[in-house]
Amino acid sequence: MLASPASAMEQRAGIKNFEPFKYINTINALSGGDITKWDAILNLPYDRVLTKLLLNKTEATYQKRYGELLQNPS
Amino acid sequence: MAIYFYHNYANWHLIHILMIKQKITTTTGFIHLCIPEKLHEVTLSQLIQMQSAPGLSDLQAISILCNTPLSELQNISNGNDLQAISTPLLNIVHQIKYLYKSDAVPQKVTFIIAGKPVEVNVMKNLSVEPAGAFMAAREIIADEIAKYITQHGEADWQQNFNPSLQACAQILAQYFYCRVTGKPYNEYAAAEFEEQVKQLPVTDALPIAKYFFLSYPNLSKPKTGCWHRLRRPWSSAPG
Repeated sequence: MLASPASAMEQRAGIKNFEPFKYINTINALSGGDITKWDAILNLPYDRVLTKLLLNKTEATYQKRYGELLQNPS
Repeated sequence: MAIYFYHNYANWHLIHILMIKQKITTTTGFIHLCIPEKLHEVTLSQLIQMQSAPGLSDLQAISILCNTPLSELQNISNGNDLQAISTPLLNIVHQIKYLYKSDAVPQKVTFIIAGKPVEVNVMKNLSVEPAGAFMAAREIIADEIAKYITQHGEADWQQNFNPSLQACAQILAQYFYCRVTGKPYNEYAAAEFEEQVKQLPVTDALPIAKYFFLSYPNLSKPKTGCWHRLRRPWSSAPG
C-alpha cells in the first residue's frame, strides 16, 4: 500500500516473494517487526494508518533525494 | 402470511420472514414447505448454494429455496403439487437475474445474532473501519477484480463486472464484523462472521457488496478530514 515501484535491484533480490503476505507486509513494517503490536495496528482507524504510510513514503522520498544531493551537490 | 421458522444452517437462527406456507402430501406422510415469494426472502447463502450446484435441477432449486432436503421432495406423491410450488419460485429466479443491476443501497441492515435482531446503519461512503478490516477488504476486492480482468479483459470492466457471491460475503463480513458485534477487530473472527452475512437477504447483501466493489479505488485514498482537524487549531492559535 502506497509503496514505490520496486527497483531493478529489489526485483533481482526477490521482492516478489513478499507478495503472498499481502497486507501483513504493511502491518509488519508499521509495527517495526514486532508481532505483539499487530493487533493494535489492525484496530487503528484506517485514515490514521494511511496518513502514517503517506508520511513514511514522503520521508523515504525526501531521504533518497537528500542522499542524492549530498553525493552530487551541483 | 407472517410466520416464524427456523433456518436449517450451521447455526440455527430465528428469522421473521414472509413466505407462502404449503402442506404437501408425500409417500411417507406430509411435509410443510415455506416457499419464498419475494426476492428479499432469499438469503445470500441460498443464492451461493444455487450458484455452486452443478447443473441445478428444478427440484434442487426448490430444495435450496424452501430449505427442505431433496430426499423429502422426491417423496411428493402428486406431481401437480410440485407444479404449484414452481410458479412462485420461477418468479424468484426471474428476479434474481436483475438483482445485480440494482444500485439501491439499503440504509439499514438487520442481523440475527444469538436469536436477537441487531440493526446497523449502512454508511453512505462505506468507509471500512478499522484498518485491519479495510486492508482485508481491499485485498478481497483487488483479487476479485484481477480475476475478472484476467478472464474477461480490462475494457469496460466496471460496466460488466459481477463479483462472485463468495467474495461478496467475505467483503461484507469485514465491513460488518466490528459494527455488528461491537468487538475489536480480529481477522479470524471477521472471516468467520461470513456465516452471519450469508443469512442476509440477497436484496440487502448484493447491492452493498456491489457498491463496495465499484467504490474500491476511492476507498484507498486517505481522508482529508484529519488535515482539516489539524488546520483548525493552527489557524486559531495566537500569532
